[in-house]
Amino acid sequence: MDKSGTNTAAPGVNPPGAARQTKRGNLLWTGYLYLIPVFAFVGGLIYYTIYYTAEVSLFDWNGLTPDRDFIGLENYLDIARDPVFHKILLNTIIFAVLTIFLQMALGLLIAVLLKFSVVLKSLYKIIFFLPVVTAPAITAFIFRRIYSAEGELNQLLTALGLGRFTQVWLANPDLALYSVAAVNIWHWTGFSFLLYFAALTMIDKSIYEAALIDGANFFQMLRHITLPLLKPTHFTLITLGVIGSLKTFDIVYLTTGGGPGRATELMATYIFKKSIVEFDVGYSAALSIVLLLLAVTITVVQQRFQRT
Amino acid sequence: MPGISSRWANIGAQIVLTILALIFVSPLVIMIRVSLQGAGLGNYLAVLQHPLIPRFFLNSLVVTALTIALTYVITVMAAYALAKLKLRGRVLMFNLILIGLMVPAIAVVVPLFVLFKNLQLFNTYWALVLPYTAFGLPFTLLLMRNFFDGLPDELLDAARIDGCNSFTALIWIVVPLSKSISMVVVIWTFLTAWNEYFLALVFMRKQTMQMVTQAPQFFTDFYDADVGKIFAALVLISLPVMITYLSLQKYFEDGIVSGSLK
Amino acid sequence: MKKSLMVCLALVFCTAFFSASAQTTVNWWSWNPDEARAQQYIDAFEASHPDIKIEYRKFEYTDYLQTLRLDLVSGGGPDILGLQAGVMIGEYQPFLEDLEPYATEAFGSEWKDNFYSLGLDQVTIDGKVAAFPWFLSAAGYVWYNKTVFDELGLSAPTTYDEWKSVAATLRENDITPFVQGAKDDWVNFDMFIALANEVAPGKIYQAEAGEVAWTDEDLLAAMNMWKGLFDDGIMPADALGIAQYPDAHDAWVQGDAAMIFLGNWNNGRMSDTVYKQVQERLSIEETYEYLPTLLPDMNGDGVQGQLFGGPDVALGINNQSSNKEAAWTFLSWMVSEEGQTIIASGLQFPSVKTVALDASDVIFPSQAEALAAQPGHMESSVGKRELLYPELKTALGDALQDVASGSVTPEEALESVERVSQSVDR
Repeated sequence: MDKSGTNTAAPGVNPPGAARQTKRGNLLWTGYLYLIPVFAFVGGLIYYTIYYTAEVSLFDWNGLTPDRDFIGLENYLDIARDPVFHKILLNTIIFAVLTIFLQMALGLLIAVLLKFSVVLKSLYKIIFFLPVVTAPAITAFIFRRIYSAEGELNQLLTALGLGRFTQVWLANPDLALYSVAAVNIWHWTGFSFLLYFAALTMIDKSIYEAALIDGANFFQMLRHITLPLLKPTHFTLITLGVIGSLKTFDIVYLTTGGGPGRATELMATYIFKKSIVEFDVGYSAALSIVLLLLAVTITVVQQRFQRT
Repeated sequence: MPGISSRWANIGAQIVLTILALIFVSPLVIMIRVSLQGAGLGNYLAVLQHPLIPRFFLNSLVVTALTIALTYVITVMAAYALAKLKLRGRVLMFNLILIGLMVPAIAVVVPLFVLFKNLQLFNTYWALVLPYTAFGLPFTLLLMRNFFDGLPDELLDAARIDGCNSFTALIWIVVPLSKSISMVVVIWTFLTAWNEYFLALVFMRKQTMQMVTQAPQFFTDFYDADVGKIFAALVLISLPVMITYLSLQKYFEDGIVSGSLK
Repeated sequence: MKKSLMVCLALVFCTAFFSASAQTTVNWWSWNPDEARAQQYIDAFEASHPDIKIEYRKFEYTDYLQTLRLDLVSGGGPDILGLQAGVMIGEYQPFLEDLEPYATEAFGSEWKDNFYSLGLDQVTIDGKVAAFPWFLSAAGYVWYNKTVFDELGLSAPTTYDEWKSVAATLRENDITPFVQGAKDDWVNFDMFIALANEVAPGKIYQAEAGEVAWTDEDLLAAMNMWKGLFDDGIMPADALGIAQYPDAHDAWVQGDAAMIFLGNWNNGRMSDTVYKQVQERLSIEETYEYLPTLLPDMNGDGVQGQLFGGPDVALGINNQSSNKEAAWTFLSWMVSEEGQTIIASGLQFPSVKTVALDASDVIFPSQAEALAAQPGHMESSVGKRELLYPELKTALGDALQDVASGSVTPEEALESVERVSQSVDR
């Protein structure tokens, strides 16, 4: 029998002082217990990593030699002045907006469509999720081929009589970023779909039944019932999308290497190149910290919106 | 689908789905074609017959299973606490954990390497299970906590009235209700742990301890990479995840929630 | 009786134990060669050195850079490491054992004469012989498909105008004239260095050393030629979106494209053994005749391009290794006649002068002639392939891609390279 004062507190209501007093010895304390494992892992490994990176970011170091020069915040100042960094920020914003929005929209569309009475549901589910499982090395190779001058995309356009729209999708710096964003969307829409599908499963069908009785049509129910109930999923996907865009590496690096020039350079590819190719480990670490701070800021701002 | 009983709507849905599916599947068709180039199915045979591959599969299975188990248990507990237990500072704590998601992969490798070398964890399963869990937790926690946020509080209050404490409420009420998101967590953790490449390369030095992501190494070459066999290897590697995904689909069927409030 | 038997057994076990532990294991890491090729060397070496076992680990290039760094920094790492000339060996130099004393003791004081200086110079850092060149490679060849050329009545271009007209004919016949994976910076460097050396041999190295501005008129001429390759339709329009390996190379070897810019590391395509594997892998039915030719005369001075190169892979000894003697034994064997003969049989260019390329496995007689001409080309190499300063390489790489895509003019591109060059710590 629970001793936490059920006879004084009304269900679901925690009056400020009373509940805490009665529950403090029991629930509140146990509540934090649930969090010990997660903080052990996160504190032990993740924050150690962050601390290490932050420390390295204060040095001019090639990652190899025992001596390294302490330069304080100079790496950060250099980042602020770095024209490549500004280009990257712009690229990342464009990339993020496109991919997040389209992945969510397509994922939701597919999830909703699969709730209709259609045949071959399992086949569709496989097809839409397979790209998520596909290795980046495969994805990059295939899309380099698809986007090449004689590749499948141009072939398709020509076959449809749209031959004059053929492009060098990855070689043209004005198009490359969008082409790469399309690759990312192909790769990740299946995941958005999965989340939405899982969330739709959770919606109590009786709400719809009640709305139907009130005379609502499909689109009204979609807009006023389904979409609002999917809010947690929306916000999860936006958060993941923002952070994901900042961290997107494999797909971009393997497909275009960040080029032509810096047309498809994103944060993670720049961090990688600075560290591995240029042996400028301090600068790379500073970029990682900047990435972290950017992600934190955006997420906090987004959460303000979420709570309203 | 509620509100739609017309045949035309269903047919329309079918058409749109087919068009989308065709777009999504075409790169995969190319992938299969490439995996068959040269020796055809011989590429797949070459991969399967390589003596070390079964061992790689086993290693990956162990690491992935341990990671899933560990991640799931920790995530459920933490998500529950942060979403339902009205703890003080829960938003801050959640954000502190979420920060773990924002660390770029390359920044992670060096400190982990130093740490694990000192702890002499090389060539052990824990060298991978621990970081996979740690860096997977923010993601899974995000998924699960937001999901739990969406569960009505009345459920838990009803449980409390019936005499549950926080733990039994978690086990008997919350977990059964969260089958769909739990399966998303399982699928996701499987996917990321199974496909992880670089830490598996760095921490597993002994060939018998390597993971399945190292399978393509036998067919690579700077000038003469056998692309067909590499693709065959990568396709085979992706099969277990797909099988898991498919077998867990039954948890995404409707009707789980509707009876619970009654 | 029993006691002496025990003593005997003990002695047997002891000797067995000691001779077993007398075998040392030498760890060798590199991104090149692949495991099958490495095994050739290991088997040959272990046959004559039963007390040393070689464990080779092959990595993908970027994986190698990362893993090697992790291990070396924490006091570990392999005994023998594969190294690239230029940036890599410069950065890793503090971890490399000076091979001069070993070499002098083993080979005598004139040991350097046996190596091509093109290879040895680039592994000597501040007077220290940090590694041995294992085999050399030079870029600067336009490799063409003679079978396709013959069918269309074309011959290898020797001037830029010829190059353009050959390209036009090929295009009319639905064959991509030339293919390049311009997504990969190293490929563009090769081409640009070739062009620069065509205009003014050696000037680019002066610019690298800061003695000459990157905006120098000769380098500008080279950059304009680079742009010209794209404008005049030699370079395919999608070059910036494809990789050299496998995309461009496979397209060329399958006959979809007629020409590609590579170096003598591509010799293997002329070898029967290697080519058969390639044919099988890519289902190529014809046996094409591939030949290298020098870069066409780009500026009308009557001289075609020359090769430039250096050690493709160098091998060094980790100075933190506990097996330096055994590692040295392996390393000296690798540059010995025996080891280098295996190199030559794979049609890679040896780093020592005493071993010649083995033309016995070529498919066409013209290819034997091409191989015979290579040592001469190597001797008259203009300079190296690998530039020294990473930030300069990055700037040049971006510049080349931006000029190719039309985002900046050649002048602007070289100005930004010059800016970076001035900030380099030389």
